[in-house]
Amino acid sequence: MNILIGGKAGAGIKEAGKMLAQVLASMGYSVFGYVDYPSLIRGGHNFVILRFSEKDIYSVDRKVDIIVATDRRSVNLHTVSSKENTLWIVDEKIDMSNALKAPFKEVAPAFFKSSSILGVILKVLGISPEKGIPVVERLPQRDRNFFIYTEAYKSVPSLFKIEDKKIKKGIITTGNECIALGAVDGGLDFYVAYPMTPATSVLHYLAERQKELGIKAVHPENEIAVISMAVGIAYAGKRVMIGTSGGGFALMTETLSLSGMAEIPLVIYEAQRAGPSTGVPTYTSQSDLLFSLFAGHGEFPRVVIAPGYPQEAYYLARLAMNIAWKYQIPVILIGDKHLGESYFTVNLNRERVVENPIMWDKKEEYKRYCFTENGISPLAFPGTPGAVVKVTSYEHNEKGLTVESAESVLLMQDKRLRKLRTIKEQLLKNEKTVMISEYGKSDIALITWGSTAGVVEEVAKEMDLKVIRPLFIEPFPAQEVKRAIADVRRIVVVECSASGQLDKVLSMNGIKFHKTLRKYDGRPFFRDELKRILEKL
Amino acid sequence: MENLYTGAEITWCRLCGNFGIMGAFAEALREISETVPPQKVVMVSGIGCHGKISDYLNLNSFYALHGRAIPTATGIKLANRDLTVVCFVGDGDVYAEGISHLIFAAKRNSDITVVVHNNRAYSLTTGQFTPTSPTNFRGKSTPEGTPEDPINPLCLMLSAGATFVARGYAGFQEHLKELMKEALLHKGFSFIDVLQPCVVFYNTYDTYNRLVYKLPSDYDDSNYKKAYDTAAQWDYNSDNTKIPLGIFYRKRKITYEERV
Repeated sequence: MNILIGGKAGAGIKEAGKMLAQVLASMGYSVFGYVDYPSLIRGGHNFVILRFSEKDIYSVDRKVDIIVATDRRSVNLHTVSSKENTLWIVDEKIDMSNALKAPFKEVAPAFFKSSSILGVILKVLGISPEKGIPVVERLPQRDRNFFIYTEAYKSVPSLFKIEDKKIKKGIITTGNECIALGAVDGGLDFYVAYPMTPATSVLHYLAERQKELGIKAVHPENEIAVISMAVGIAYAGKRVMIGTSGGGFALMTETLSLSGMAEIPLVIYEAQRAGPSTGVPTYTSQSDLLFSLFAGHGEFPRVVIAPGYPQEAYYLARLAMNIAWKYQIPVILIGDKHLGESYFTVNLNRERVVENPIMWDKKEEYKRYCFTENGISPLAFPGTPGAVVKVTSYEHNEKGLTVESAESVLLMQDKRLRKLRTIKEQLLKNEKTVMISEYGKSDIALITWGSTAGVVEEVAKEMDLKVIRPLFIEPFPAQEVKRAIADVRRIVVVECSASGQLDKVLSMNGIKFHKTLRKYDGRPFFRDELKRILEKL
Repeated sequence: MENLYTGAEITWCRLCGNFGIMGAFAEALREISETVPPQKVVMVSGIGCHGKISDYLNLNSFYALHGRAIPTATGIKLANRDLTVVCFVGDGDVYAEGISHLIFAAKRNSDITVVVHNNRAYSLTTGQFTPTSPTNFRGKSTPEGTPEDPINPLCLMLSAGATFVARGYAGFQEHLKELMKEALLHKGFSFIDVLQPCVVFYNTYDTYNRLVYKLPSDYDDSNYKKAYDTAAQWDYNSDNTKIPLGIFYRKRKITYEERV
């Protein structure tokens, strides 16, 4: 079942959606919530689409079963989402025939709308009022909200019978929360960020819990300061992640290149939004894939990882921390608004996994960039007795002193190339770098990446299509992808990009495909929409 | 302290003001090494002739990007408060490319020391005007003279909240050494603008020798208004105004790293 809730920005629409999702999750349903809001604080229009099911779900439909319109604008805007039998629940002041009237404005002026929306929907769905109590109790001004919730509940009839499944599939969370927790469990000491949608909620989440999690959240003056502080922190021996979106990442690229040259471990979370430039700040996109691969001047080893689900975001953020420190490189964790801010039902099993990097054995004089066979030079941090730790943005010798001669330039570039080879060999061999579906007996395969996974995998399962999805974009698991598509007749690439970035990555790796499905209006693929397109193929 | 130098070939010009700054720092470190062991010192340099100090001194160092030494230094101090972190930066480096970071480090009272090699010219890029070049400076990018007036970095730092503001002169190494000792031992953001002649692109030895004077020993460095007035005495433009040297302002305040 799909429920859409629409209303004025600032009227508690997102909050109501999250609360409803929490109630449904507590009753044993898998819930997915798509949150649509413009880049403003008051006066625009917000809406949330929640889909819930007994099966695990990760997408919503464009055509919905219930539309909750708390204002007149919602009626006009969401008529496109209604189908023949859609139930409309509208504010009682709105003149609309065949709609259920609810006193949203009457019982809940200004800021209390979320509890009135929740009360109305729970009643209509036939869910007992007790189920809503835990989420209403968490709101500020509890008594007032509780009264409004109860009044709203009483105001409408019960039309459905949504049962309590008496199990628990998980709790409501977002990709951003899981990235934050993954980094923490990968040994995070510092999170440094400048606010930028859709990465900001990682900063908020970690700042609020920094004492409890034993980390520091730092908010400097701009993104250049963010990444500069981060390389300083890592040089001094503490694990750090930074987070931003495309525009902020663009500002960071000079220092990204420094991190490659000076071999500073660093995890960068890039939450994509619809660009170019300021673009459509609160909407989703997968248009920074090539940017994340090629950002920075000069040539240096990097790893680019693309989670598709919150569980993967958790695991891969944790892995990213360990990879960054093992190989002393920048690791880019590329997500987007759809993964970062949508509501998912997740059962997260947290476990701290912090691998120690290779450290100086104190036997010989310390050389920060000492030549080794695998290209990895042991670490020491400033303040270590007996070690002088010199790192630099210039090309350098083993001690970290500037060099310019042809031979010495070649020696250090070759050392970094050896490290690149080590990274490629070890990661492609030891890590799960690509997801290949177990279902899919037809001779059509879909290749996708990142947050588009949810909808693609759900639809593909229904239609019995094979799905191949790289989790690592660099190093790219070309051999495994090729093997997976060897016996497939038709390959379709699905992504949220106007120019087709994944298809360029595939071409670079010698992988052929037949068709591309691209969406680039700032919205993710909807389930019914994708299914309709795929059925026509 | 025996191996204070790395042995890397020094490529600064003969009589370059950088020698005075490096010498003063080496001496200052030697004299305070019991309180500040060299092993706990980290130099962070920007890009420009000054930055080569990272190659020359055998100390922990982060030879950072142009303009970005200061946030890098704050990061180091945030991660390990036992370290003494000193930025060696240039005027193009920190008054142009990285000025936002300079202002914010002062605003935050980040517990780092910033030593500006202020030669008032871009020299490594062979002679252009910087934010502290005088209006009549004819650089390769401004053959008719600069279309801008210089900024006064001391007034800027006092406005931004720096808790230690000083000016030194590379030609007065002994005096500069004393300033550096005080700056290194100051808890909080310490800033020294060092007037540094560039013998190739802006040779100011004669001018500075004629104009500089040391603040009197009874100067009260706790008086903010007095400090601002003293800092404003010379506008980095005129060549017939006296130029005061010394510690203009000093105040104890909780540091950024203590507060984060």
